[in-house]
Amino acid sequence: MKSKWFINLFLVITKLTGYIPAMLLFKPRIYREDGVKTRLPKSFMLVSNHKSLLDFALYLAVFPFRTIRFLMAEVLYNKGKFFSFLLNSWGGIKVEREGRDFSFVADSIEVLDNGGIVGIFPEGRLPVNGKPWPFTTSTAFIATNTDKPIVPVYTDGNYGIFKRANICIGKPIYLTDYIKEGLSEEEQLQNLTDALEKKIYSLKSEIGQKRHRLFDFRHLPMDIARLVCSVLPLILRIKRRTPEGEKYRKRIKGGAVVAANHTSFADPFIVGVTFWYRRLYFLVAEIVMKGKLRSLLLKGVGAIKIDRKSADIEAINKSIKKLEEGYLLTVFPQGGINREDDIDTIKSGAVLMAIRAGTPIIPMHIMPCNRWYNMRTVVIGETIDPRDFCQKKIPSTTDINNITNALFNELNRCKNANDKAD
Amino acid sequence: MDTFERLLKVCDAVFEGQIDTSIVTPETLLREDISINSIGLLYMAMAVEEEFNIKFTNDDFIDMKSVADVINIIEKKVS
Repeated sequence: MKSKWFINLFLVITKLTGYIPAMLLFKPRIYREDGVKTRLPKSFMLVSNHKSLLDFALYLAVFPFRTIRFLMAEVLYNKGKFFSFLLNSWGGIKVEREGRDFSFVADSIEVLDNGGIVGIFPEGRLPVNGKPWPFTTSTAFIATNTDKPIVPVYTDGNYGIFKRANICIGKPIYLTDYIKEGLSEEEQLQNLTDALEKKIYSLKSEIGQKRHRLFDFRHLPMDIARLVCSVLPLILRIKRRTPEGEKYRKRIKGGAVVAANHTSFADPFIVGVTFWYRRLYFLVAEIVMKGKLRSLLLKGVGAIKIDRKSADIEAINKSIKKLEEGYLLTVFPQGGINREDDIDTIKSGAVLMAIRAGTPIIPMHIMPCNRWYNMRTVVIGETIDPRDFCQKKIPSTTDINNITNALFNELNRCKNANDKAD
Repeated sequence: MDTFERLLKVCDAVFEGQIDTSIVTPETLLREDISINSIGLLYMAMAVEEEFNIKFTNDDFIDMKSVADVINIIEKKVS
């Protein structure tokens, strides 16, 4: 390993010569978790998802005044003497991924204990066909053996001359806060690793959220509808409540599926008024989209046509894309209007889309009203995160049914709360 | 691992033993022989999209009658 002063000098030279080309290549747009710029500690573990070999160069450019010692795979050191020299000079900590040499753990802890910064890509290797690898447990092991915090970072890997990289820097966390009692050492490491993976990928939605401008020409009809919805509460009297009867104050950030009951054609307006501050897409049955003018108008305000008679995978994929881009998507999981307001069964489409997009589900019950001017209450339930039920890349039918049942129960809890308030 | 084996692995992950994949051959019919309904087919298609990093269209769904049809569609999209 090179001496500390040599590494620092080499990194300074690299940054001075490479900063402008790196900025031209990445054009990084940096986001902060919850939009709050937190001062980073002196010493920490920078943990990020891994999209490309260029991730290392990106972080050198994003943190120009910090010396970050990255964990690097042994295969990179085998790419020739010159490359090996470069990696050593940049302060790389060699990791034997397949072997039994765990000296990188001790090296990382030493760097952290000496007040340095260690950079880790816990996936360990580059994605194949765009699919990321699961996180390895070594990051959690290092984190539990040092008192330094982790700064989670998400990058979208959108690198190129005509592209722009989006990065979200999370608030520093201590993995020890995620420890669950009663687990064996191995299970605990896996639990902490899962928590870390979830945390990093949750930052993805922050990127989607902040990328949207307040008003956007492409969304003009939708923004006009939002503007109308923002003043509609002056006419439509709507109270937003939690199932506990308190005022609902939470602001929804990032992509999410809003799953609501459906008792009348006014329901999409009620959802629009409730979440007027967000751009909202909604799934609409093919029968409602009949007629060119109506179809055009509805599409303009965010309708996505779905054919209920067949498995309309195109509509589902379009909805997933919107969720991934950070929009809200309204789904009426009962599959049609039910004027009786009984929630007996729900369909699993909303859950399926939320799992695929990695977004939460917001259950919502709208009080049915006979007259439009009557005061009505909407009860917004506890957010359901599919990742709490299923960590797998491919969910099984049992996982989907379990999450659908959780949504069903929460919708009924909201309904009961609304019935009591009536 | 070829497409057929990967497809069986996906089916195993999605249906968790509800379908006996040991009897599945390329000639097996999805609805008639292994009783996959339209929702099951949708779950499977989403998982296949994730596994092979492809996107299906509604027309692909109409053509999916047997396992061989699914393999053909996947291979066309992958290549």
